Amino acid sequence: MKVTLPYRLTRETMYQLLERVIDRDLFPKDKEIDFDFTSLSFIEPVGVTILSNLFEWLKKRDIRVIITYQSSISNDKWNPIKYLDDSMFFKRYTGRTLNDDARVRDTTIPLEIVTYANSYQWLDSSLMNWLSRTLNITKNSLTDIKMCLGEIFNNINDHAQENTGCIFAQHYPANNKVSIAISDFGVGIPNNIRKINPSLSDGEALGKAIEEGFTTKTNPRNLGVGLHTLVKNVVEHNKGSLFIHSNYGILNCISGDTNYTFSNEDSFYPGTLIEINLRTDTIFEIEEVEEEFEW
Amino acid sequence: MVTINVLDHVEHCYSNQDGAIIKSIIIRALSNNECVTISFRGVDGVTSSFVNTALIELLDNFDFDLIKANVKFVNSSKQINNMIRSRFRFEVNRRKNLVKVLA
Repeated sequence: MKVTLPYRLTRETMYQLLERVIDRDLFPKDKEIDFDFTSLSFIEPVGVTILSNLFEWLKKRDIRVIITYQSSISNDKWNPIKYLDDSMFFKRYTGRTLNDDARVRDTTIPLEIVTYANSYQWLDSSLMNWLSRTLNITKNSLTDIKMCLGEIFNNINDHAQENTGCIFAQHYPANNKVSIAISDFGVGIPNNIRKINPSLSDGEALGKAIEEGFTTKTNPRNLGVGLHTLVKNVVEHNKGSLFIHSNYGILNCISGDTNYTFSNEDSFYPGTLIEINLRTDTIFEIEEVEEEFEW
Repeated sequence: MVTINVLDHVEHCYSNQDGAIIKSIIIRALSNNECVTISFRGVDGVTSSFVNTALIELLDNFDFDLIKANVKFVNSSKQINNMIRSRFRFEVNRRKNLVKVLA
């Protein structure tokens, strides 16, 4: 089966891609899928994560994945194939970069598949070093962000049997913004929430998942607390935004809104996609000082 | 008085498993009527998973007043302190509002 990538691959257009690949019973539509990249003209960082997650989902189901692209790749940095090549997407899925001169851009990290077991070390060394260098700020000043992302990996560990996350990030210096997209291809957050509250739709389940202390005593024991902490740090403290799509549910949290919004989408997302947009102008240098604890 | 330097027992304060190791040491000390000082020297931050297991689950065994009187935290940071305080605040209030009836 041939699947043509959308002209622009963004969070909004990913549904047509997912629908072409995944059937209503949540199975791949064919044993072999040929992804045609030739019409792709733009891709967001979250698109890199979505594509990677989809490929991982298909690989897990022993689907043969083929990539079709134009042999001549322009060196224009706006070319999405060049962007994917520089993000190491093709290296991961074909074993080599398309161009010999492909290199990870200063404004991005390479696409990574991070296991839970390696996640702390990866966050501490790779991602935080890149963010510290990119924002010209000490790693110590980024502790809140590091622990936030730790909450996501703990959430993956709680909700996804795979314990693995696809992650990609980009810095937009002109917009004072860093976008970080993480996705797992597990069973999704709503499935686990419904073990406790079976009547909830996927969207309602995501809304429940970010309530503080929805439950801390079931297995997984951290439902709600980790995602609540994530929302609090990203939206309230950093004034950034957060988007979660898990199965059919969508959750949007934007700074300035007193409430988050959740909804149900017709298209199924295979796992959980989390996009975080951090404002860099609200991240300040913190001196390394201990603080005395008081109850 | 027992001093627990967390990095002597776990590599980081990240997972439920990390928390479970620290929790068992605290429970042992409190059960022996000893005060506990927990040192976060070298730790830059903690996740809610760690705090839930290491500290919040102590509420299953001990009153909050006993924990406050006998557990101290040193060499901590703003992120660590905020996480501990906010998790205890929420859980203690939640437990106060629980109503149990015999069915």
